[in-house]
Amino acid sequence: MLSGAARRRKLSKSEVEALADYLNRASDQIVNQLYSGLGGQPGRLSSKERMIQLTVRALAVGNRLGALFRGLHQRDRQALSLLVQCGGIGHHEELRQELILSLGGSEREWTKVLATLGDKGLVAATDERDGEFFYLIPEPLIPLMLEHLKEDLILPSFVHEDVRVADERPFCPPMEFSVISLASYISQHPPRLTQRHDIFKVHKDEMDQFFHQLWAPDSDLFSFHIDFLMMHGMVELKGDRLSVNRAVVEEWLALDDNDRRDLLFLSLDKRFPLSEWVLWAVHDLGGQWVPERPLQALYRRWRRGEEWRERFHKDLWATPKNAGAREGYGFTALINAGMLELGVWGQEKFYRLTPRALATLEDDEERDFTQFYLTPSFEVMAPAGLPASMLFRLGELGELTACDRANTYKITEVTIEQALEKGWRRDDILEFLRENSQLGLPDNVEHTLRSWMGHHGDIEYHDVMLLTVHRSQIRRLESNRRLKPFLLHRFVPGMYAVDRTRQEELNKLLAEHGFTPANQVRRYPDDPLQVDARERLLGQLAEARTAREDLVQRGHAADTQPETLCAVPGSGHQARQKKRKKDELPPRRSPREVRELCDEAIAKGQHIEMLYVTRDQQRKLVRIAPERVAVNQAGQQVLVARDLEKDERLSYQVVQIERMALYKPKK
Amino acid sequence: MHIRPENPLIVQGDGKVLLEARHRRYEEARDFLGRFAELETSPELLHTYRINPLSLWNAASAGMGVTEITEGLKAFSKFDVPQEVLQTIADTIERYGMVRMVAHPTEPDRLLRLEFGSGYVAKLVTNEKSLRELLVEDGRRYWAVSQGHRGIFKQRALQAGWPVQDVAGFRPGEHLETTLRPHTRLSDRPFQPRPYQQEAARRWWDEGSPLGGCGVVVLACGAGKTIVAMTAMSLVQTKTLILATNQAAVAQWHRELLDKTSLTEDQVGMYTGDLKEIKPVTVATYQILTWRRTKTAEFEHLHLFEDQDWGLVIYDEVHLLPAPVFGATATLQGRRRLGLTATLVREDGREGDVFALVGPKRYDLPWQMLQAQGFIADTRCYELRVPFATAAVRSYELAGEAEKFRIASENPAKMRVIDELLRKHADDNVLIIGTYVEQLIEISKRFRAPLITGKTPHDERERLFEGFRKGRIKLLVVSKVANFSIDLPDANIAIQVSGSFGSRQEEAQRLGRILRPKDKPAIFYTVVTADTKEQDFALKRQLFLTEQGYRYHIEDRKAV
Repeated sequence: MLSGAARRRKLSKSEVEALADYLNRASDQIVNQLYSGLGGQPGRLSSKERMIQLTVRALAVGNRLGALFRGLHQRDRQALSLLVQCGGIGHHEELRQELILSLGGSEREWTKVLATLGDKGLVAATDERDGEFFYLIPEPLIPLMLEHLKEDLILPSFVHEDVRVADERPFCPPMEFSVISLASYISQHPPRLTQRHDIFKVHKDEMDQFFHQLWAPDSDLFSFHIDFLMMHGMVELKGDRLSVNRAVVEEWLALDDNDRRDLLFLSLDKRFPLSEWVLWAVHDLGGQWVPERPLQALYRRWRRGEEWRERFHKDLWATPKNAGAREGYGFTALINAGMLELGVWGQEKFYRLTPRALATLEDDEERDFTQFYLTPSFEVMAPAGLPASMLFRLGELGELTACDRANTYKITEVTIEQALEKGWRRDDILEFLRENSQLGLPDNVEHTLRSWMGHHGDIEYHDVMLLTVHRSQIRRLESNRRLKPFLLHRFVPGMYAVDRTRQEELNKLLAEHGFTPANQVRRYPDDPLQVDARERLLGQLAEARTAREDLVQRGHAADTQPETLCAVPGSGHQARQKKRKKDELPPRRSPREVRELCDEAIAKGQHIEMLYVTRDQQRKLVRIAPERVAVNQAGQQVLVARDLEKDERLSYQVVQIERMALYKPKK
Repeated sequence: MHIRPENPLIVQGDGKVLLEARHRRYEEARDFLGRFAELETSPELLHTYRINPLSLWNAASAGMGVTEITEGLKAFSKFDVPQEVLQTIADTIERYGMVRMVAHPTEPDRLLRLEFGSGYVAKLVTNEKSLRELLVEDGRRYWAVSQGHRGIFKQRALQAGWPVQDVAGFRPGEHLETTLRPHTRLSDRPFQPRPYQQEAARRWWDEGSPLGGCGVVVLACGAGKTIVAMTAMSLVQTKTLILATNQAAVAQWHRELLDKTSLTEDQVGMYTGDLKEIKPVTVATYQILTWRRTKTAEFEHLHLFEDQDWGLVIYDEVHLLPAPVFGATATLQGRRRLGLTATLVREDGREGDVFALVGPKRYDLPWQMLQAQGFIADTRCYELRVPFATAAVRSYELAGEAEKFRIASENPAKMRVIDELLRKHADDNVLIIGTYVEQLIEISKRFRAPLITGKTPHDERERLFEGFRKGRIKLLVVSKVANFSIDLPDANIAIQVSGSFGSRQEEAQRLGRILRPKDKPAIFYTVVTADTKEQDFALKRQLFLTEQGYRYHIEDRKAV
């Protein structure tokens, strides 16, 4: 039944069905009025159903509605437009006051006008409660009316070359440019705050001076920027200084343009409710000036409409005491936030969008600039209009030295070192600069950067939860839209970093999508006992190596000191052999004995006398106070001790200790 | 703010202008900017210019107006031109010509009359304390300055922000017939100034009007500034005093004048420490003019300015003009003046004095254009980093901060690299340039090459330079004395073994020694000790050359 109407009209099938449903639920009187308003004769129809069918068809085709609007008196159109601007709802008394305020006339006149609109079915009313009621436009009619009321709804514009712009700032870059520039500055020069959480004057003056191209000293535009950063946690207080929260900025940068815009309007709404509506309304005039009064009137109607709707739903139908007290609204908050420009011509004020607001509202798929300029003198020029993420990264690699049409960044050894500390990798730095610079990376810059970065970051630690997947399932996992956001980083195909705090959530999703995750999480090291055992094994290995070297050494280290040599028993010279001179050297020890003796000496706090074979194979008798036995970087056991003669702490390789004894000084 | 990414310029709020060097409208924009902005850096991709009062007054003196500049900037700019820049341009340009110095109608020998753009300007200028004391009431309506205060008034007025347009004219000087030879005298080769040299002289001369006849010509090293000066002399036809940086430069001027002009040996004299000739064309050093017996004594040779009725004074390397010569120049405002330089940047920041006392910039041609047209050599720069010789490391580490630079500069390990380079360039004409004489002596002995230092007698120097020019000597070791004004046209390899810390000027001048066009490419090597103070300073010098647009390659050499 309804599809025929839908076919001939711009309305979709679902819209037509919704309209029919709405009218079905409406009272007979409302349907009658609307049908007769559209030129029908309700008395000639047998049923309500047929009337609704014909009404929907008339509305859907649109000619009848057009005829109805063409037949409306100017006052009727004005009242209807005003009610549309209020969102299709108006408190009976306050609406009439608003009509008088905006369009003149008397209460009686407007009561009559509204009654006429009611007769035509364009306006309805609620029931009365203690004499209070609301005028309403049947909701499905509002979109249909817009086309016919276009001329009454549009704001007037003004064009004159003598309109003087108040507080003109010719440099008005996109919001993301100024936000990121400020974030980079704060990151490099964290400003200090007073106990009242104001920025210290000296730091504030420095910031104002630095950003003088963007805002005037002590301007609200600066406050808006800093509030924006703080509201979204991109800048936070650390100690007594502001500091950039890098992770949050990265998250903000990763959002799509619409989400970023929504966040911006959210913060604008805190300063000026319905700011987005105002900006769009001004935007519709395509850059022309909008006189202040019509804009104020429109805004006032939006605000009143919002208020009426709220009171209607909260059953607060009586007029509050302060209702309608405010007639004019100023748009200073939007001017201060750099979104509106104020023009003055004679006594009249006008508004239009700033380039910043234009850039915010209009989706600019094609960027004005996609690359920066990197000069061989280590300077980077980044024009306003570059993607915000690129600007932020530049702020991490170089010092922001000027904020202007093209920001200037100076890359120095210090900034590169700081970038590496923030987690940049050597290759990432070079690649980022090479790929995003108009002429690539100049030879001298690349060479110098490499020398500054040295081998930083060749070895890195990562604290992650690792997810591995069998190679047969890699494609299935990676192509799953719901699972992909959980894969934070792909190390190699089949091996990913995931967030350990979301493991349960991930497990559920994996199961839902037909994967079978293991019940246990593999841990490294597996078992503490096993770790100990492994350490013991490594200790034994060190000992074994020591012992092996000891054997070798023993083979070479026969006691060949001439003083100790004697004749072979039974040989001819034996009779003449002198009495053996007492060996004054400490006894020879194996490495194990050396360690035991060391432990004993350390426990008793005794000194040691030992014969130590130096690197150049000299044997030196030293007296030491042992401190501990340790393993050096090469995996060799060493004795750390204080040399009593030199009074120096030294380490001695255990395998190089040939003889050893506890040392008791002679009295 | 409207963005027009297709345009080649970005004008910053502080008056800095960035120009994309690869833009299709680059040349158009460069020629436009060059008229009212100073080129600061010209690396490969992005050139930076600076709009400052002096550059604007230079433009104003050449006849550029506010509208031409601002409209041009708007047309070339990617972003809207900052309002404050437009305002500054308007305010600055309008000041030029607000104070004019003209010949006095009744007492031209004693006074110069001042003309003001408006009564308000007159009030501002005459109330300026530093100017007031130089002013003389000239009847009830006018102000004047005495002839003797012509220079100092212009100097002070500029400092107060009032550039004086001096149209009081010049003394003609004593006539001296000077023409350019069609063939050089020494080699009998055809000779004619290049078009840009003629253009530079023509702009300076300005058809002999009082608006011309003073000012500075800026041309890269090796572009033939001497010939511009000779062309100017042929236009003025008067006795000329030429001031140069050192004795070698004086000798070179002498030789060039005799070679390329109609002047004879009787007419060209040299006034230096060794020789005191005053002839119709006299070439003197700045050094001799500023020489005095003690710090408090008089400058004994400044009389040279007054010894003859010079009609033209030429200042070679005007960016090096010493302070006492500025003083003397202030008294010479009645004579035509021509300054020659490769850069207007003075390390002492006295660019304003050059503008006020020598005159505005009359001609400037970027070196890239000269190179593109083959007038200067295609040059490559290399920095070779050498590790310390093992023996020297300890002394470096134990040395005080001041000594470290020298120890690093004299690193014996550099010898091996020099050796390698000399073998590689055995067929080339090589200059080894350094700062420390002991190091140079050692190099000279090791490679059996003649050495020129400050102590080398003038005749000996000339003999060696001549030998090098004639190809008898292929390798020459020189100290700082060769930084300036030495014309060794065939030198194509320079090996810099040590320098004066981070002096950018020295780097440019040394590079200039090999810029004369030739068949072979010119290569400038700098040998530095890796990871030392010398490398830090070399980075500064390197930045200067890269900012001028030279490509720099860095190579690490292994330890010996």
